[in-house]
Amino acid sequence: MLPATREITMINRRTLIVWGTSLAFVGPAMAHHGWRWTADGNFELTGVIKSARLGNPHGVLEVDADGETWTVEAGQPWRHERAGLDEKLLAPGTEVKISGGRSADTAEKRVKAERITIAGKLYDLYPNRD
Amino acid sequence: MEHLLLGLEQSALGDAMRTWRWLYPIINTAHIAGIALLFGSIVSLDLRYLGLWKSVETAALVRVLVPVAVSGFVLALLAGGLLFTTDARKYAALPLFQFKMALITLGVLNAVYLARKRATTWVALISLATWTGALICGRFIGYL
Repeated sequence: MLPATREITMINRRTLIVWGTSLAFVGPAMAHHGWRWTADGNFELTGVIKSARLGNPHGVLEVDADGETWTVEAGQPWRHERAGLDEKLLAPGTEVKISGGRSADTAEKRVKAERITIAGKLYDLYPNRD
Repeated sequence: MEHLLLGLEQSALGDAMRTWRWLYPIINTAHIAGIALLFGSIVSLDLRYLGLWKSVETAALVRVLVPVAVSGFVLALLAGGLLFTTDARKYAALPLFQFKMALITLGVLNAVYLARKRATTWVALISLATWTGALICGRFIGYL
């Protein structure tokens, strides 16, 4: 049973206000989605690829930097494709420079890659960030 | 076993799951949908067995919730199998994943027992514990 026309208008206006205010939070929330575990600021890591896997759920690289093994989190296939990054470019032994967010846990050697430089060429995974 | 896992990983299916843009998120969504149907039904039924909503006829709940739960389980299982192929060896070796599989097995065995015998407080509690545990383990796989 539909409510009277007047009631429908009031419900719609209220609903719109609620939805409008909620959606306003989506933007800032999405800006930090995926970076919750990282520390603020840009972190750079230079090293040599030990292993690289770019497929779903998300890419993961193992980078040897000064004898220490770091885990580098990359993106989804579409993000790599957009940046021009391919697994073939990340063969073991390749020298890379990773720029991104370091894990806030200082005991953990983990970085979220935002930009990867291989042989002087920059692959930007998050062109809208920083 | 290693051979089988590697075979799954390197299959055309595993490759598609790892590289196609939309297949992985769609299968992931199906996995979650299956879990939602399964978990929602089981928790509701278990709570009824534990004494909640005494005025509601158990037989009616069973008639609706068991088919929904089973359908959810099958969906989650099929989707889960596909997700597994992306990194079969890693998941198989992961203690959290192994624990999740053990909990699911217990949950299923408990459900079969319930179907053959009758609902008791213990059966309902074991049901809640195993399926909640499996849910938690599954979600935490990406965070440990």
